[in-house]
Amino acid sequence: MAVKLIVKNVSVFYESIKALDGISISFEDGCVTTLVGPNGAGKTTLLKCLNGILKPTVGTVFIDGYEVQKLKPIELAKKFGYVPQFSSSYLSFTVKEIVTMGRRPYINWSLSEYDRKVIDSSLKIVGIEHLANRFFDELSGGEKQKVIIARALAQEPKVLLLDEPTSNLDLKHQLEILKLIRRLAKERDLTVIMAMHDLNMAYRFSDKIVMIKNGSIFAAGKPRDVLTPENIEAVYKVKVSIYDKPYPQIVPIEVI
Amino acid sequence: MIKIVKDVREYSYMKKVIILAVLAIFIPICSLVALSVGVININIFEAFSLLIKKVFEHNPNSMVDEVKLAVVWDIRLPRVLMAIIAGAGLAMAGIALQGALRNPLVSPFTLGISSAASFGAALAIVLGISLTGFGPYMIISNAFIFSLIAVGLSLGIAKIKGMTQESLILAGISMMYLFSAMVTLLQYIAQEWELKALVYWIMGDLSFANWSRLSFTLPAVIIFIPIFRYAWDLNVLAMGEDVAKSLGTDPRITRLICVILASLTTATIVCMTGPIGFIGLVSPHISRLLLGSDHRVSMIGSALLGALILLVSDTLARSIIAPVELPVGVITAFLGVPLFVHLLLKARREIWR
Repeated sequence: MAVKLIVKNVSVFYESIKALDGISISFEDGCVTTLVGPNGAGKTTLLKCLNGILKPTVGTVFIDGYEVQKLKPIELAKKFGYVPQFSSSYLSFTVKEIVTMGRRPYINWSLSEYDRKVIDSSLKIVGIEHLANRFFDELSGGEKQKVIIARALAQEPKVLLLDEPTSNLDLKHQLEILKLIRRLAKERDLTVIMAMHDLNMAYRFSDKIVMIKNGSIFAAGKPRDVLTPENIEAVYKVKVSIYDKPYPQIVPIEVI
Repeated sequence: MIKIVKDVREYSYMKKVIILAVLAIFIPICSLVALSVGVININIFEAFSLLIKKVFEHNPNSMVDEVKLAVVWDIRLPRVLMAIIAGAGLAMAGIALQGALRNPLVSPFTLGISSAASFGAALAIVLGISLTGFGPYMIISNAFIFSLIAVGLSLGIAKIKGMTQESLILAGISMMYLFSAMVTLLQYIAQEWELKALVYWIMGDLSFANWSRLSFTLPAVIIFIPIFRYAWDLNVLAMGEDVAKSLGTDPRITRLICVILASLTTATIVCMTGPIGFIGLVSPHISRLLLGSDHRVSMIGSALLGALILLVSDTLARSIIAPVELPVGVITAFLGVPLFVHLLLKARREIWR
């Protein structure tokens, strides 16, 4: 099922600070869209507006024609999976318990046969069945991130939101996670939207890049059209060179 | 016990249900023992048959020892049931509040209930002032009303700060200090016999249990039952507010409902028994060590453990140096702390962070 996610003229104010300033954009299914921009540009704020964690001060987000702000949390949880930058719990849950939480929007008390099937397949597609009975907080950062992605998949979402999914991971886990995300987008026709700092990874693994500067969209489109030295210079105030073998590679030269 | 703790993460849901059933079976067994212990010695079977006869046979001419029946039915049974209700209620309130406020150090008394109830009692005992009620119910009604005032004030202050968990805890702790200070003031001006009565009340005590008090306390536990609907919400809330929202839970509503129900339960119990500490703080932890963190299971486990700990403690408190009774709060700590420390040390790892 194709999903239509449309952001119309969204602004967010924290007290008097403007975090987002009139953002309008639409997202396509089966695509990986990456939000890039300097710290504090509003990437996380935009992500949180999409699934209703934050209410925009002005403007509306539509999913399949419904206003996100007017949908019940439980309805939103069936449409959006969310993977935060850090995950921790003050209680010790096992990996399986955490993935089971992804079924929360569908259950009141006990799990059905179908719920169990979804949980098992979520563990499997992320490749962490062997961790099912481990405690979440004894896992490495990369393993934790996979568990949280599995939880998001257990929600059977149409849109997957990820906030800096690779920022604390080693090279191997970065590649694994991003490949997994791409595969999920294609196989499950998921709309994937993630915020990311690593421009090289964003270039290589995204279908579309949205460049945000001071709460507004500076540029949006295919990686090669958006991640140009001119744009990066304007948004990050850093001079860069771009090489393209074997993968496009952005090398920072100096701060302007 | 040690083995259980080590393997808790590999437990299936069914295995946890079996552990719960075993804990539940211990309650009637311990109750029968409690009914038989006391100054007048009645053995377990005799106590059991007295109960059966009282409940099922209404023949006034049957051969029943009237004294023993009165001891079992009118004195010991209400006290046993009060211990079960109060222990279960405090333990459920404790785990719900720890979950709702995402803090393992929270107890049912964190929002100021114990000191506010003590202040209400002190007002009645020392100054003879009561907001409602008369005679023996002055203390109870005062304690209940001031408990709710403290919680109301805590909620009111926290509401201004967006009902965050930190604001609620800090507001509750400030209420606790405020009411403690007022209790101290009343203690300072109290007559000697008033002071004794007040100190005894503040220690917490089940010896006043009777059928009519019991009928006021039972609803405390019943009104709490809807909280089980929030077991999943408390689970996802442990992962943080944003995650809870993204999984379809409204953290503010969950927190508000848990706080209100837990406070009503706690206030209803405390106004009858005085503030019996420790149960509400530690039963949730013992339950999670035995059964894992899933609130569907650990909430029930906490209630059963709270009931068991208070029942056993109260029985010991009134029998160790009978006929003198020790304060039950002392025994709950003497009994619960070693159990808790044992589980803490033997568990492969801590169950909370």
